[in-house]
Amino acid sequence: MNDPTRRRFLFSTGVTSVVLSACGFLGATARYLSPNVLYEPPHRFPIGSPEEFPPGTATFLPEHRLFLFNNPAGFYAISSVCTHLGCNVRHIVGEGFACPCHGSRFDENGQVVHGPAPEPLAWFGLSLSPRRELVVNTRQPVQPEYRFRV
Amino acid sequence: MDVFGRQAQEEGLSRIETDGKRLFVHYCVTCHGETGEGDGQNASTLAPAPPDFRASLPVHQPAYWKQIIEAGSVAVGRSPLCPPWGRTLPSDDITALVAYLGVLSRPAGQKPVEPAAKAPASP
Amino acid sequence: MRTPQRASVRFHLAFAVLGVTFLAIFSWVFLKEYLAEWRTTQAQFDQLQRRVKDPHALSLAAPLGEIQQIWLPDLNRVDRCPTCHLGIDDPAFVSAPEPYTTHPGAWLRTHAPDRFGCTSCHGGQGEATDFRNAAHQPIPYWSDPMRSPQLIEANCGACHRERRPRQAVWLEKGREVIANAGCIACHDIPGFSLEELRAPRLESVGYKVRPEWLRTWLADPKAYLAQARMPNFRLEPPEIDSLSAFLLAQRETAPLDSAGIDWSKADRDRGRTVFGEARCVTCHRLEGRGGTMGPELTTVGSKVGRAWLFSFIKDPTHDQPGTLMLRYRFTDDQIRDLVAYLTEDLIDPGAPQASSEVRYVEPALIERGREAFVRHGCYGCHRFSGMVDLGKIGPSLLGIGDRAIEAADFRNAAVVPSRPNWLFLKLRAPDTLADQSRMPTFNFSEPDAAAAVVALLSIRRADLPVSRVTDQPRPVRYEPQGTFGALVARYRCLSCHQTRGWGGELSTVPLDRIGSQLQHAYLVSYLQLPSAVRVSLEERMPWFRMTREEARTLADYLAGVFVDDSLERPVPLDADAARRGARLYQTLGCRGCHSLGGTGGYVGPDLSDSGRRLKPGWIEAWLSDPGRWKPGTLQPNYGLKPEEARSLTAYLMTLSTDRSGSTP
Repeated sequence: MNDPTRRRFLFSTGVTSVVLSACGFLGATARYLSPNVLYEPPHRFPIGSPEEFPPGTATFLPEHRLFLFNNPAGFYAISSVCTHLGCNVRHIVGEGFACPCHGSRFDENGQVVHGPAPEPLAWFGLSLSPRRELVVNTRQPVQPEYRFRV
Repeated sequence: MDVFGRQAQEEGLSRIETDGKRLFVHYCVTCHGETGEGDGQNASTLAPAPPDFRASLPVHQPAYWKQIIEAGSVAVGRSPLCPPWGRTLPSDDITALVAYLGVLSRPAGQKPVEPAAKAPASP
Repeated sequence: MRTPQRASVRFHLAFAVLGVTFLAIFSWVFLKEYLAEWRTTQAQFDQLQRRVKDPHALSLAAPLGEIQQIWLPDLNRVDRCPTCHLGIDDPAFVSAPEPYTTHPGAWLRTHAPDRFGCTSCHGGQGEATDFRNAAHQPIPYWSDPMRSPQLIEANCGACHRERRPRQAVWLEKGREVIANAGCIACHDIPGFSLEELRAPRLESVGYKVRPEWLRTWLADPKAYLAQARMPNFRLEPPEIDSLSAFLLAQRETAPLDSAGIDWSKADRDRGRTVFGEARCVTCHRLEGRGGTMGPELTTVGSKVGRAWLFSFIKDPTHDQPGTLMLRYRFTDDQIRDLVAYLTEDLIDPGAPQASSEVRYVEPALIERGREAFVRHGCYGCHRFSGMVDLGKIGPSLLGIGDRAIEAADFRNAAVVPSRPNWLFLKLRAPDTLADQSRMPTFNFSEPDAAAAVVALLSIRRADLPVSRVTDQPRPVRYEPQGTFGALVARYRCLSCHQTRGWGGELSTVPLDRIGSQLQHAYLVSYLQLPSAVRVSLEERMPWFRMTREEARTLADYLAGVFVDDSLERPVPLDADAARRGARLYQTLGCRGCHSLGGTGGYVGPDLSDSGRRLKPGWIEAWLSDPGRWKPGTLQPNYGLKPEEARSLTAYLMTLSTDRSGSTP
């Protein structure tokens, strides 16, 4: 192998490595921005056994800020956090939800009926833990048709 | 040397067996005796007398022991002298007692088997 | 031209090497991230759960590929253990290998992981996501490694601060060891109080003990008595000299006058009879048998002087105001005989003889004795007037479970340097861990010391939220007044009996509802002459020799005040029911534990006289649910129907020794 070929080979190896490393560096930096886990309340948490929520009721769980409904079709969970400024909304049977802070109104499915709330209330996915407890996942947004059957 | 490792070896009983022993001493020895030989201080007043566990325990399964503890000896067609504890003791206590009966049913000097209930410690 | 070309090659080579190095470093970073221990552990679990679970259960399972954590801000804990311990709360994994296996027992039902986390009970480092850093195994000098099964109850005790926590046998035993050893005399220990100490007062000890005995006792209390509660202070002979001189000079309260007693008339055999009748063995041990509330008496004749003993039996509160000992209604002659029996029959033949020579005691020696008394903290147990506010001699044990192990000196002891090991060595032999340690030697057995270590480790810094802590209510001192109060004080009812949680633990019968349990006439006769209801018990009610008047006063008060209205209800007692009850008595096997007319077991009380002894409302309530009235009772709950309980009550109410002619 003569000198020019060797130089070319070393040069291309170096350039490739540096480029790949730079990509890696950028990738690692980007990865760093989304940590594996944070010091925060879990986004999946058990709220109790299904029997604790009698059929046809809506239960407000203040520590988790959500309503749990048990309808004949199944269970579903709606956030109680108003999408306007984050007050806890009140549930009014047959009407929907009302925010006491600025008067936002939502229907039974959490859809905005009356401002100033810009978006409907969030719905959370449910599952059942091996210990037969309902588990809410706040990172699993679901559509208002969602019902969870035990 | 870790004194607590040695301590555990010398005592030879797991946590659940120690718990069972405490319950056995409290509830059972008065008839069955310290070692389950059927020589408790009340044994002489009983007819039929309590059995010698060293001979009688290995004949049956732990489920059978548990049935007697919970529902009394009358539940397996024996005399009514051993009372039912199922409504008095919580199920954990009965599990512990059964575990300790397992100790009594082993011939003396045999090394205890590794207990079922242990802390999830190592992979 | 050649030289620049050479340089250029070298430059290219360096550039390539550097680039490859960079690449290697970043590859390593990515490999470490995506081949992390917890990811491979989760991948293996995924294969496992596909074998174990059906598709429906799988669809509900927690998503893998992320770190699972339990965040407990109030406990300042972040536990990421569930990242790998994935089957911990799923019964489907009961036979799976670690770390996937199900948690044994019912612990997760009572201690939900999302409320308690893992490290609250198990210790270890919750933030870690790999095996080593989670401190699964003890690492020398690691501050808080995972608790081994032998020590795990220490973590129960951090929250469960009651003296007898359920299901934590070693913790319970350890707390009992700490209480019995009197550690509270020298150390502040949360959960223990000075009131539990029962050491005698020494202001008048010069009248009480024999000088020869005192020297033996000070040198090694366990040499005189194996069960002695006083530890060995490892005193040097000069200290023993000065301490005994100081103690023998303590003569504050002279004994009651026994000058008129004619000791030549004393009859030791009559004294022995009095001893037996009064049931002294209920509290005092004699040749290996009897209770442990009072001092052991096997060789008491070599310990105390005759005049002092006479005075003490005549009125124990004369120089020991807080004593647990009751004041019998003995005649002087009875006391004389009893004292003669105790001081002449119960002696140690090997004890050193009293020297008859009278020796002059220097005041300086007494003063040195007083200094030794203070230096060794004797006043911690033996409350001494004039030394009340000296403070405790040892350091507070608050937070001993958290104390940094780096600060501990092991003195080259060949042990793993861990906090439990240091405490264990300290308890077993305090003098080996520090020169001039003032902590006495207790001669704890290894199991006792190990249990005490568990209890000590449970004493953490007091930073737990109140809502996390369980404790028993501290009983409130109960001191009845008036005639009744004077009798309760004289006969020291509360040394053995409890009411509202206050009082001794010797008696199996709390007084809270005694008036609704026992018939008035029976109470009166029993107080005057207690007959054995449980013949197998060594510890029985003493024969106080109280007058009929006193017995009536006590019974009246008990029947009027110590009642439970729910028990005061009529029970129909017809003959038919009694017949059915008699059959039930046979089929249930009651005779296994209770005796009737001389036959039957010794475990429960004799029922021969229950028709004259017990009140029917109480029998019925007791039979229906014994554990409700007395937790831990040996009477099991038979699950009787109300009708059956009534029939048995009707039957028991027909039983009376009057009719059958036999006596219990």
